[in-house]
Amino acid sequence: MNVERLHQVLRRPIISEKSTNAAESSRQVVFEVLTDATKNEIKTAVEGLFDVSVEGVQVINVRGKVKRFGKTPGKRTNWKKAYVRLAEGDDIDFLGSGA
Amino acid sequence: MDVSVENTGAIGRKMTVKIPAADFDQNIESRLATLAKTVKLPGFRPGKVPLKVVEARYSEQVLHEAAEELISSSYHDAVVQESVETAGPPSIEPKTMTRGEDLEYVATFEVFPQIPRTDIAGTSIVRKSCQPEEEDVTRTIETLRKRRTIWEAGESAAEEGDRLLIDFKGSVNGEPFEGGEAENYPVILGGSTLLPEFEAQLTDLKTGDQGTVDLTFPEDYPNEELAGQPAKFSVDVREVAKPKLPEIDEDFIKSFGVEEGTDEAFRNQILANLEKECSQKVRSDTHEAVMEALLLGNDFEVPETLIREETERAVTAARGQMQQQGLPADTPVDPEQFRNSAERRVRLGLVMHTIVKQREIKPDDNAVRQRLEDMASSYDDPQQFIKWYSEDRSRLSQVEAAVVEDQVVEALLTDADVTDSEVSFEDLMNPTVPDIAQS
Repeated sequence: MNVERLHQVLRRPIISEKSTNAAESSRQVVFEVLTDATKNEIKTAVEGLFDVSVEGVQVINVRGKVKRFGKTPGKRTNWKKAYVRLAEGDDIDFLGSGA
Repeated sequence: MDVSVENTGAIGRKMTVKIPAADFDQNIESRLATLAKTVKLPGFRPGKVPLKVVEARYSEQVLHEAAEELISSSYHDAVVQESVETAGPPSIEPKTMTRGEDLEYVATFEVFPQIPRTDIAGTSIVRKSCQPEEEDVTRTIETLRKRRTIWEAGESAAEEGDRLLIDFKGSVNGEPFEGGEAENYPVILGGSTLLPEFEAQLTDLKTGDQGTVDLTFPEDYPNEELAGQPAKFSVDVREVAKPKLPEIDEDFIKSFGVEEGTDEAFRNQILANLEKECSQKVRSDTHEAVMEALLLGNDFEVPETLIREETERAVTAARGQMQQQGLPADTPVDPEQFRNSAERRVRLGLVMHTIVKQREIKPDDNAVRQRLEDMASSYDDPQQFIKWYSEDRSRLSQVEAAVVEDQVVEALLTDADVTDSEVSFEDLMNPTVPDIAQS
């Protein structure tokens, strides 16, 4: 696994009600990741980029919504979401409050 | 709340206020809590944003808001606690503003100065009095006649005092210039409406005459392009009119609102007016003299903020006046030119304020009513005028302020060394030596 690939795997963190709940109840952080990323890649990427240790990764394929513009049918692209469980004591702060 | 005040001058003060970290924190927390209920963020339903997220995003803003609120409220408390009387708003400089620490700030402001003297004991004041005479009445009637001058067009040559209606066209070096042309322009010879040279050359012209006027614009002529230039005007005289003073007859008298139309009633009316004018002038002269005496030798430092405020008011007033004269609103006004008079007003205001407080002078109800009636008497419906004034607190307080001022002057005059002097009406109205130059 080359380093460049690892930088691309994580597309963005997801900050929402559900993700904050997950962070509080089960130490999970949520990312949008490349659709072809593997759990292993995600784990290595998170550990490498945020300097934390990862306990486990759950992924889900999110189907893009079907949207129409008048008669024209349209579809948003599918994407992949990853729930990454961090080891006890580790935390990633996306909000920048502690900085 | 920890407050310490430090003197930085006769009237300058520096106040350091410290607010405990707990109070500061609590204020921030409660602000965040209210904010969390209303804030909208993508990914969260409205009002469901966790406090932690809100804090991360808005802490900076909330910190400032909280500091601002605490500063303004604690400043007020601190002023009361230290019982200082501030003149004008403070300038506030926060020293520390971090969450979890004490909030500390420094407010610099000025206090009202101690007035060294609040009486005019021993100062000599000349109180004038005057009774208009028959001849003053006659003189006034003459002025009125002159104001109603009737112009009678005639065929004779124009001489000093006559009014001409002229058309003129002027040119400099053969070129017409702006403002050098007019039609049906009234000129009174010797009235210096035009350049004296111009008027001199109009003398001896008759109705229908055409003439030319050669002159050189003076070096100090306001229009720089024309100053010092020789110019040629061609002039058509439309009319030469001689002045004729109106007769003092019934119509003349009635036109001044004297219903009876008799000479006697007219003279009485004028005499009454002159007397009124007299007493007003005497009052304002005495007033002025007392004020001047109050300021003399009364040296104290005046709060800069007050002077600046007063100067600003003067500038605004001047701007308004200029606008009425049709000058553009953005004409530059130099505040410096109003500064001295503004400072004088502020000084007087401070002295008066202290006197009123010291002597516990309150507006006398009877005097207020009297003054209102005086003011109302020149209106068609005095009752309505009085009502209009009495109903509004701010308008009434204006009148009360004037009455209080009179009372102060009265009170001050009792300790002063007052000399009464009778002067003639003429001398009172046109004093040769300014009254205030005494002592």
